[in-house]
Amino acid sequence: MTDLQVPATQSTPAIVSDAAAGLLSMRGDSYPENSFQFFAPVIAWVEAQLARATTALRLELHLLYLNTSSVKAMMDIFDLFESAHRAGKAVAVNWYYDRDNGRVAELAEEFREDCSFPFQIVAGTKESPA
Amino acid sequence: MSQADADLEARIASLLADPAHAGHPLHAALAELSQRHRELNGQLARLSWISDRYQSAVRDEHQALSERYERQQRRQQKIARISDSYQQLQREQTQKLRVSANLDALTGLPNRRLMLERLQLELRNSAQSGEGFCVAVLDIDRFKRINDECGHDVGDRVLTHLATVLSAQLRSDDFCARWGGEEFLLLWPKLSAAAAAEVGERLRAAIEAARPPGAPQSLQLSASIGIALHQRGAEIADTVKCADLALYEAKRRGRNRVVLYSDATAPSPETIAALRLDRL
Repeated sequence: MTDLQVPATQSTPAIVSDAAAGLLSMRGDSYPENSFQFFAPVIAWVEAQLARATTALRLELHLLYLNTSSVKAMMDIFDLFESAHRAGKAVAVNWYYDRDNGRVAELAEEFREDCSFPFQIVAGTKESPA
Repeated sequence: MSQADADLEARIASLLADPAHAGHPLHAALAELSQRHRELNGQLARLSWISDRYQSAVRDEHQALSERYERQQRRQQKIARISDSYQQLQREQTQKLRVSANLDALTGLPNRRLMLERLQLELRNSAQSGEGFCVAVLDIDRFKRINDECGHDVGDRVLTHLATVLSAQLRSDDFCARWGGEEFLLLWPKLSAAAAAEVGERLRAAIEAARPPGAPQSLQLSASIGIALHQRGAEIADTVKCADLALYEAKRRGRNRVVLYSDATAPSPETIAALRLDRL
């Protein structure tokens, strides 16, 4: 499976995946002009990873600002995680936020509401972004 | 099949079976009618069963669709809610940036940019109302020496303390900004030159009496102030320049004093050049 290596831009987050380690990370702001086009490969990668029989998947998020269509894309990804979790797969999300910006944690809480898989909201600092 | 139907069928069956009625002309017709009735009853039952099945399938589908619709609706609401929160977050950040873009980070006073906007506004207000305004440039005397001898920490504390002293003396319409380095600009709307000179003198005395916390006891703080009355039709830059010239004159006369600009008090370019070097 081809891993993702998407560098960050002003309006899109950096995305890095590691299929062997079962890891996907996103870092930055997300307000792409064409959100479907931007997230389609990410969602495809998650689906492919979760379709493998024995794999685990951990999602590491360092996201600050999301526009509406990115919010929807994240919820689609969390839905995939939820289904995988119900099918007995080991999936988890760690959402990191800057201690100085507690509002981001509140937003992560809202995302977490309907998720029954392990979903941690972790405080970091600018100097050591967890 | 209803009980009445069942009873009728039983009665007909027993009549047909009775040997006494054998050979009766109606016997064959009744047997055929009874048979036909049973078949139709069977068809009706089957039709009802199919119809019920069909109805319940439609009902199930409707139920599933409406559940899916509600789920989608909840999801859309959640997306909108989270998205609204993000928008709010961004608005707050923009607000914070706007504030910090207009304030001096050290003293918390309005910065040069905000003061320039405020001066332009005052220019328009004054043109409409016909009331004059004054501008003052205030410069801490021998600030470089304070920085050199007491350190930049003390220098910063002096600036911060001075901002507090100035703010305490302002009327609600007055405006005070950190103009640069150790220079402050004051805008006094609806104030005559004579009244401005009095306010300037009050500020000068307050600064002379001020003891910035954390500064050495030996530190004697003073400031020179140049004031200019805005002349109708003049540019803001001209008025600020006049106040600046008055400030140079105050420095030339020995500092720690207030000078009101007039053509007579305007210093020569050579004096300004000499004082500029001295102020560094």
